[in-house]
Amino acid sequence: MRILLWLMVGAVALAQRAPLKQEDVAAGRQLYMSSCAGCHGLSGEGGRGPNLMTGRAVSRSTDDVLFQALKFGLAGTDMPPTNLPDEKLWQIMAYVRGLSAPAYEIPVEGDEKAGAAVYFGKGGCTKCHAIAGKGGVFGSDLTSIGHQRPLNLIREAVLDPGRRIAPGYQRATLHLKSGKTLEGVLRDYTTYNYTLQDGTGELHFVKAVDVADQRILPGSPMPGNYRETLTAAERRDLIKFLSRQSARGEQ
Amino acid sequence: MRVLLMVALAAMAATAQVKYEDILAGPGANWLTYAGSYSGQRHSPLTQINTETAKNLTAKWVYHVPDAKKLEAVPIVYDGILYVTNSNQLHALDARTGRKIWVYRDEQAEGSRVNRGPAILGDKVYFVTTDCRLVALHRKTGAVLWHKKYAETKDGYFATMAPFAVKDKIVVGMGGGDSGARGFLKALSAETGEEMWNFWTVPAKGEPGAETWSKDETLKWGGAATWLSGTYDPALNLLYWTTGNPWPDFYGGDRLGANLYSDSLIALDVDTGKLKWHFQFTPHDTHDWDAQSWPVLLDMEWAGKMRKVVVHPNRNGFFYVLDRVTGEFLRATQFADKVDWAKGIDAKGVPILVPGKDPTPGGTRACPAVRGAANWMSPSYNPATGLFYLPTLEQCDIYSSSAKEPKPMTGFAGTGGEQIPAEPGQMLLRAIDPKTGKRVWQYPMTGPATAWAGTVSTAGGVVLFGDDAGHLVAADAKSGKHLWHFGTSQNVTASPITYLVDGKQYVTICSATHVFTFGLFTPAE
Ligand code: HEC
Ligand code: HEC
Repeated sequence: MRILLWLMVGAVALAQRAPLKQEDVAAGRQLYMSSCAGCHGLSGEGGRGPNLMTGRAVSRSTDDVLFQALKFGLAGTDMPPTNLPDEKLWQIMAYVRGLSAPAYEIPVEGDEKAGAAVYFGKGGCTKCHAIAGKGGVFGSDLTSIGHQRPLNLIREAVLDPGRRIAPGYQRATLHLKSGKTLEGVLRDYTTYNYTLQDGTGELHFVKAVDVADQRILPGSPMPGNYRETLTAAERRDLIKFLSRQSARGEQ
Repeated sequence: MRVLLMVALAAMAATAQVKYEDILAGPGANWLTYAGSYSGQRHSPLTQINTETAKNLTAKWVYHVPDAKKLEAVPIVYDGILYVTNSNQLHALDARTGRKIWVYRDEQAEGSRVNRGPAILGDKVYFVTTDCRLVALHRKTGAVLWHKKYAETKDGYFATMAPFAVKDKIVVGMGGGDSGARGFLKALSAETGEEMWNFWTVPAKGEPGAETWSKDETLKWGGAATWLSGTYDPALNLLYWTTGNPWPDFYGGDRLGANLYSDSLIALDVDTGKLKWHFQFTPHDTHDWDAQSWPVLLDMEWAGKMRKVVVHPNRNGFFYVLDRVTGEFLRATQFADKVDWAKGIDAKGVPILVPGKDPTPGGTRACPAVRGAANWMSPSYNPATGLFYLPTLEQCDIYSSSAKEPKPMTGFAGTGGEQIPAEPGQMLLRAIDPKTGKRVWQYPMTGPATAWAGTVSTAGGVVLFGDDAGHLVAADAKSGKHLWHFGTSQNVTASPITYLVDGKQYVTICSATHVFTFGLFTPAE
């Protein structure tokens, strides 16, 4: 990491990146699974090596710097050199870039229209989530989700919502000394104050001294069974649809 | 949890909403528009903080805006929530605690610039991105309702202004006048962002005013930017907006003539965007004296009868009084001592020029400085004292020019104004009686003359303002006597506001990187 950063500083001027191609990403994924996933995790979530979805080392480094790191490893760390022909390394790199790049910027397989149908129909997502002002207030705004998150994090959010809770969405029940009960998500809480947003979107600013009992519930308020209720094709198309969501649209 | 009631964003419309009438009513518990009210007076009726109690002001909370460099925002406060902007970001905070409720970031916007604040109407908060998009967010959840691109960066435009909510419209302006963009002001639908009207601040060939530019081609890149917010008279249905300098800023040889509507105050019909009248403060400007200081609307006794006027302190060093119905020039008085480019303003409102004050290749000394004797920092007016509180800069500069052929969007401004090292500037807060144009008191500041801090006036008889050494100061509105100050240890680059939350009065001001909030001392619970 230290070395990678050092190299990056020297190379900022070259911060161009090759556009990612669907074939390269697909081939790179295969190679990643055999050469890298053992240390960096099946979806890049990290393990012996760092998380490649959320870390900034990848998104901030140039193609050259990243390539050198993959080919020669990072001296003095557990990151080994990779003994593969250069063109295969470039394919791995295309895939690795995609791990942390906003989903909107990378090729994603699936049918966007069919995904929209799942989102607005069978998936029932609009009950909680809004896109461009249409939908519920309880879940996070998905208008620009394609720009805000890398693909794997979107996939994880939909299929395994309990794994990582978007900040400000911890479920809670507050029993107030006044006898009132508030339920919703905690936009913020400290030792002294709570900001709770209920299912109607109403904000409640509560002082800790006014709370008799607080229950901060584990897990996500979002249904956790989409892996069962949606078919593989529906899940793929839904994720494609989410990856295309951008407040700015095509610039 | 299973029984949790959940509603759609659209259904929330039933909850508390900011109506046009609420903004019309002026500041009170809330602070709903950049200048507090449509009149631009920045005068609050709140009295808890007054000449007796101001000494008990104390910091309530400080919010750090990550990656802020120079916050120029005036926050909006509604229903206990404070909205503040930074470059391409809008933060919604609990005004009691300064804790973040939500933050919206537009990561794809081009570059980073100052931003002067949000607007609010209905259930939406609005702000502009650096690259001229008006963004509408749901005020409680921060959900993006829409983005509307209203100008192209490839045409030299950018945006820094606080959008102006009026009736069913959001009025937006542009920056880019210093590098050859053609100025405009637009009204967009508050509901959808669709354009409702557009007014070009530089006329097209053949239109009235085009004859004030010696070459037709200059009309395409004349400048006259609209980067500050404006004021509005509901009875006259007129919007008052100031415009920036003509381009190239410091060399006028390619644009002989008065260069309308640069450095002007324009009065537009708010429904149609049609020009009702205009008044130009600095015809054929070569000192970059944008008219971006506030056009403040007062009803004032003039020659024995009440008259609807607009008062305006200009960068050029003069304090103007105009009839706001007709645009008739009533009077201009010099409010800064260091003014040498004009001997005065004649009976028609035209400057009586002093020869030899134009920029030259070798440099010419002239006053005021390029930053102006006044600038966009908000002045305020207290109807009880009848005084106008004006942040003033006393400074001269060396102005130089270059007759290079102007090429828009190349960073060319015809060169510029430089501070004279041996003559540091001096900032003061001046209280001016708009009836006479005379100075009643002044509050000299120490510091490097780099503040961009404005004022807020209150019915408690206190005027609050940022000083030149990074303090927020409370002074007696009648006498200018110091009552209280607080050091932020930073340059203050914005104007303060005041409001109530849970019945308690607060004051908020942005420094370069933080939002500071004050209230009267209360013991911990
Ligand atoms: C034996 C385990 C191991 C294998 C196999 C491995 N890595 Fe690593 N990798 C690491 C470790 C450990 C680091 C952290 C080095 C450090 O301390 O800076 C790392 C760092 C990185 C980084 C820098 C990321 C950051 O945030 O600092 C990238 C990119 C990377 N590896 C990609 C790959 C790719 C692609 C492959 C497959 C070709 C791969 N690695 C194979 C262990 C491994
Ligand atoms: C019962 C309400 C509910 C439903 C139904 C629901 N979600 Fe969610 N969702 C949430 C909440 C609350 C969060 C934030 C907490 C979290 O991260 O798990 C969330 C988070 C997410 C995120 C991550 C957002 C981020 O900012 O990282 C995505 C993506 C998402 N949901 C997609 C969907 C999709 C697609 C559907 C329909 C198939 C759906 N959700 C259905 C409530 C819901």
